[in-house]
Amino acid sequence: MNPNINTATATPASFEVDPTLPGVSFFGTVRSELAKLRALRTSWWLSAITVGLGAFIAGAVAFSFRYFMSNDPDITMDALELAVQGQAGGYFAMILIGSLGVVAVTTEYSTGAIRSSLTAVPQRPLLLSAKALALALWTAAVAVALILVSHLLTSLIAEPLGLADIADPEIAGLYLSTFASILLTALLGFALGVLLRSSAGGIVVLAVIMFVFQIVLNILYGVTQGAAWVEILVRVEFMHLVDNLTNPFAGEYGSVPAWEPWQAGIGLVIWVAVPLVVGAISFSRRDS
Amino acid sequence: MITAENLHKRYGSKTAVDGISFQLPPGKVTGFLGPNGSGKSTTMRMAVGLDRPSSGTITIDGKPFAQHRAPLRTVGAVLDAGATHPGRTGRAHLRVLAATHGISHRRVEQVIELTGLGEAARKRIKGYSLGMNQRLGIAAALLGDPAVLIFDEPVNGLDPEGVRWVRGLAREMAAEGRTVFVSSHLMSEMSQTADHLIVLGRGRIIADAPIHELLETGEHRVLVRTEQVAELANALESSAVSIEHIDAETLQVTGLDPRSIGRRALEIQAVIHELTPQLGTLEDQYMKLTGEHVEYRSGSIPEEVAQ
Ligand SMILES: Nc1ncnc2c1ncn2[C@@H]1O[C@H](COP(=O)(O)OP(=O)(O)OP(=O)(O)O)[C@@H](O)[C@H]1O
Ligand SMILES: [Mg+2]
Repeated sequence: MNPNINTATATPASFEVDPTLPGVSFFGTVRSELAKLRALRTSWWLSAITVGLGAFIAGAVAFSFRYFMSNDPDITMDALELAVQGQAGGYFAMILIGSLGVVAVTTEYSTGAIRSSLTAVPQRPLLLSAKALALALWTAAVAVALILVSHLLTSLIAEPLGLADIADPEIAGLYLSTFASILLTALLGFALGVLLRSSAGGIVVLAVIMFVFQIVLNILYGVTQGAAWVEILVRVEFMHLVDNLTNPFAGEYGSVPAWEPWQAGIGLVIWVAVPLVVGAISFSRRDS
Repeated sequence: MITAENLHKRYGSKTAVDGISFQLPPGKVTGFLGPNGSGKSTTMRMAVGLDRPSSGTITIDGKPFAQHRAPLRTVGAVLDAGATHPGRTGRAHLRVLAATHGISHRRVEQVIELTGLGEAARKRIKGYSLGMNQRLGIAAALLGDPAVLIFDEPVNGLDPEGVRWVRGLAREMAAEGRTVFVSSHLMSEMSQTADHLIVLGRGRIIADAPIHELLETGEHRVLVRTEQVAELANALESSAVSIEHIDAETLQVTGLDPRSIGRRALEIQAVIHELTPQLGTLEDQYMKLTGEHVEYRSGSIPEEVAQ
């Protein structure tokens, strides 16, 4: 017998992947996710509307303030108060960019693209965190643009806010808190998108969190004549915390006691972290 | 190398994959056959970690897919043609995937060229035909020049040129020592592409054998055209052979190979014009194997409709 008979039927040498070639990387995945956001028309629309609306509101606020001032010189507002008014566009930014957070995830599910993404990056925690970081970077850029444009318009149109006041610690702090609340809301939207995998569902729940809770709780607060348990709910409600974080005058007009900004900030982080962690766990486990 | 060990997948009360084990060696094209709903796609999705097994394991080179450091270079998968964002261009889709592994734009252009996407790469995916989508899926699978290829019905929607190209691609990839796993409904396709077949029925393996073994156990069916129909039919007659008269000159003989028929014809001096082994023996074999395992059976068409 020919001892080499087996070589004739043996399978060819197995193909080896060159181990020096780069593997999947977090940085590469973030770049990939940023490219997805850039390629999504919704991102551009929502971001453009956010900045445009913010600019419009800041301009309108500043002009009307100037108009009232010229009619009635007794009206006064200091620079910080005016800056707060000028950032009113931040509220719209939250719902718009929050919706972008939802859509950034859910389009992958509605189109099925998630299956391509997961075969390229099957390490799900890595994929999800890269997605979150890409969204955060995009949101940060939009929020900075919104805040700067609003500041620019408000300070150019109305006294006493000046262009250079952006370096004032109180005003800079105000802008930072607006920035943080937009970023946190984007991540809340993202978490809802991961959990619900439906654009409509995610946006509706986000709107409920942002608008409905507040209205319902305020009615309840009135009906129960300020019951203690309702007061607790009112104080931990999402938009109440946002207001306490971003509005230095929140304590002066609120019906319930205001938190310190740092306390409100922690509250908001919890609001975002809980759905994010639950979403991440479910994302890592479920079938796609 | 793809290894499945006692792999199960249940969706609620529905068992899609019911305890299958197999090992796919590199350097071979393994065909994955089975009727609709028999669990082929589910098995392939589990191989790349899209679905998690209810129990059992499926690994690539000994490790779950997600534990490889370079997944795109380890497995190229075409699981369903629609796994793309329709608003992106084909090129953008490929670049997004390439970015995760630091794969160059040059490689993206290469796979565009290789799969014949060409000009279509500039267009938004929503305008793609089924075949273009399939080509884009294959381009994505080839991006990382992977050691394992998993194709779920890759010829679905392709034109004849495309079908031939995929067949060649699968063979070529296997010849380079890669593991190639292809599911298909077309038995004839498999007989030309695969070295080895795994046949699935209702989530269980009903055959796992080299393709020639499956073919050998299949029955021979030969078309014979002769001037002496009656004489030849008499001469071939035996209990193992069945003969069907197609027309005045033609017989269809089942149960005898062409060589034996030729010899018999020579013995009785019959003139033969044609002796054609009938394709589809694999198909028959497949139908026989899966017959009792089919879940979704076609009803017969009511006669009025059929006419
Ligand atoms: N996500 C899911 N949820 C529930 N059931 C599922 C799911 N995916 C597959 N199934 C069921 O599992 C079974 C196997 O499906 P699978 O898609 O793996 O079959 P297949 O062999 O690929 O069929 P086909 O030839 O039609 O592509 C089917 O009965 C199907 O209905
Ligand atoms: Mg299938």
